[in-house]
Amino acid sequence: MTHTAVASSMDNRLQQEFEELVERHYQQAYNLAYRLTGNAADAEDLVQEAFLRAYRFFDRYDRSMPFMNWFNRILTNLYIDEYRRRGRLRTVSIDETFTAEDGEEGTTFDLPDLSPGPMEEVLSKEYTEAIQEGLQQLSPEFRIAVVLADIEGHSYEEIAEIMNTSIGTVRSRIHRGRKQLRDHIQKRHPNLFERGELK
Amino acid sequence: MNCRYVQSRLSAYLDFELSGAEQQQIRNHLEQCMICSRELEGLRRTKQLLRQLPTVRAQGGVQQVLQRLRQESKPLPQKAFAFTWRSTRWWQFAGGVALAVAFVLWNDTETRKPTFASNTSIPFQTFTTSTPRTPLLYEPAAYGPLITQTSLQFRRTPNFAPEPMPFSTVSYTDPLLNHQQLGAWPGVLVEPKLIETSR
Repeated sequence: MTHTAVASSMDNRLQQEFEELVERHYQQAYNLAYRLTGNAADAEDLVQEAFLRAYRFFDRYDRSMPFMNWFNRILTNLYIDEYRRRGRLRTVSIDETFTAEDGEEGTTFDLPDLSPGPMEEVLSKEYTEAIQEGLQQLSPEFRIAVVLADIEGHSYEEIAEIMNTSIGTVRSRIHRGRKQLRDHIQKRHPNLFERGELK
Repeated sequence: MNCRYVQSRLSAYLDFELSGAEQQQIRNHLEQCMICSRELEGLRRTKQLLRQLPTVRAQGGVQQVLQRLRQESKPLPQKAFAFTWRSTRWWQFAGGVALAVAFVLWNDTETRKPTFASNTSIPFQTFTTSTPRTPLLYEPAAYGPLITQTSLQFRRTPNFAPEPMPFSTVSYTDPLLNHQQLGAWPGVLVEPKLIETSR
């Protein structure tokens, strides 16, 4: 087997491994991207770009680290880069039509399915939107820290690794992010903070 | 342990991200402090709401990522620069080279060409004192000077012929000739000839 053939075989194995990871983790990555960007179109773009970037650097992936920790680092960095580049990520109406890449006019977004899973407690659409709106008010660093901790369930140490910062900074970001979010939601829906209230 | 310190640690306390001793100290403080306990409840509720957000399910998107990955894996479609007669880039390159060569040649000629105003760099091609010779029109000797005089007469190649002197001039001396430099010039075949002119 020639050197080129060996390299080619290695490439194929890496590609196959990566494709399996995409299929396994796409949904989770999309959820994170959606909670960061706040809309389906940006979430999809962000996830796609993050997977492409991860693929380009896949040979540097240290397999002793969980893939999603490594991938989330790429995704959040990409998100912050994009956020700074654009100022704020665009917001689009879900009813808005646009011309698709294949030239088809009047296309609408494929809307994500926001209905809860069988094990999830029902949170009304109104409250869900208020929480998401509250997340969008946070600075990207606070938002990422809060989402990684409370939605993704990462430990502070993992978040510090993902965000390439110290545990002290992570602790501060999560605390300040939660307080800002609490103030935002409490102002709109004070009943959510009354004891026993959920729906 | 004061309230301010405790409140700055409440999120970490909630997430069990403090050391065992610190966790215990804060718990002790909370049992006695209503203000800090209420603060903790607000943060606990915020965290709970975030955890109850439904998972946003992507509508497709995995296949698009996989498709883009496969495109990325393909080798580059063509060489960076290959010669074909129809290649626009080739003709642009050839044109550029031709222009560069033309400029170098032109520049070389320009620097070799003498300037009439210059006294110091007169290139000699021919310098002759053939006797007898046909007098040039501008040589006063051809018309006979009015007074007897000794003067330098010489012939230059027609390319470098200066404007004819007015007839009233009694003798002609090449204004470009630097007598002091004359002997030092390489390639000078003969010395300027002294011509006795008389009437």
